[in-house]
Amino acid sequence: MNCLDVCRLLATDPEHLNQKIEQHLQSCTQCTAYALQQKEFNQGLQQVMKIDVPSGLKARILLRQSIEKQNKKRFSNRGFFAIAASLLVTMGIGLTVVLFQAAPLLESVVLAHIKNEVKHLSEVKEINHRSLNNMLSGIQLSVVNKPVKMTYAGTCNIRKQSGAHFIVQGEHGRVTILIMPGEFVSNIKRLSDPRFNGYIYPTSYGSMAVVGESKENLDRVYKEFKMLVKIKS
Amino acid sequence: MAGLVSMGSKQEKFEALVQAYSEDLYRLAFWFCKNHSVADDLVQESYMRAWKSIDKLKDDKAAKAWLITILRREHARYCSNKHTKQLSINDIDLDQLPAMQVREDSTKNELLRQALARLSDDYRVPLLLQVIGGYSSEEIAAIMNISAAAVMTRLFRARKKMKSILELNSNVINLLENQL
Repeated sequence: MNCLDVCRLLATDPEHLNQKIEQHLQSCTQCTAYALQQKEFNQGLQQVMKIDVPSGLKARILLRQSIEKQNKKRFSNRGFFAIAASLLVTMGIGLTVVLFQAAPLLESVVLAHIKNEVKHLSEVKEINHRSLNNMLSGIQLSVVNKPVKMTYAGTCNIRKQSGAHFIVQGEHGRVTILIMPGEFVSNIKRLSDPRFNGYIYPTSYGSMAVVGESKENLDRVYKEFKMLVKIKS
Repeated sequence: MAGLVSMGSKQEKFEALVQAYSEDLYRLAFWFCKNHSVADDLVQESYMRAWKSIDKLKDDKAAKAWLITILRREHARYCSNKHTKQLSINDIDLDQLPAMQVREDSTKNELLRQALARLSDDYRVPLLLQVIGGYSSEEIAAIMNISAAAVMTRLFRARKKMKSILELNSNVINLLENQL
């Protein structure tokens, strides 16, 4: 095997070296240097490709599969009426899925809403606890206390029903909190956007979106508002 | 009884597939579509399809390649539906890439990431399968249903293209630094 063959193979796949290449490298310093260069480039590629995997991915897959399994079991184990009922259920699920797919994703709605109302990020409103609760009573919500650094509060429509829109001063800029009753999510959803960093958290009444700058500790803000916001029964 | 046993083993098999390969599949999906939410959906859909036809998987050693094939089909399906046309992936993805990476990265890695995103699917897919999947040229050839020689050519060109993009960008950066 000559240097040209070795370099050609190294340039294609530097991690899978066969015995012949190994032997050649032992006696050729130039090719050894080239092999190191290729391995270094490969390590760079590995590092870049190894993006973070969202937490809960495995749990989400297994949850969906268990639902799928339950539906299948129900379908195969019953008699005629059960089959008919299952058909109706399946059609219902199908219809829901179709309707759900037709509707925009909650993540997109949240990001679009924040971008649409971006002017609020620079506002500084005088908000007191009483006026805040007066405003929220219309949408069956209340807050235990007013957060110290709240700069904006309002109500808004987010897809299904009315929710609350808060902005607080975080450690790295303004943080938007959208309280979304009726918008149930099964797990924490990440919001992907070049400008904003955020998550949609499941809550007992629906969900809560917390969106801020990339360095902001959004979990802390979520925990604060989880304790703060109450839904009227 | 036999049914239950086989059902149990089927479930265990599926769970093992999720545990072993979902992260690699997610990374592949991300680099296919360059969007975290879409990657999440693609992986979930792929696993649902895998669950439905898990009985067809006879050789456990082929499981990962089988899942990757399902993922690639799922991605192709996604690309052919209307959502993709509305999103205009090429515009969105490159902007999203730096923002989505949480860790601090060097300029070189950033350039590498952008160079990877700019590669066409013909070159990027075999490279991803090689680096993330750890597959040899022959195995990639089997997954992609092309010849091993074609895979080697694509891998060679993919790496060459990336290096040339890196060199070009480094030269521009050096030039700018010298001017400042």
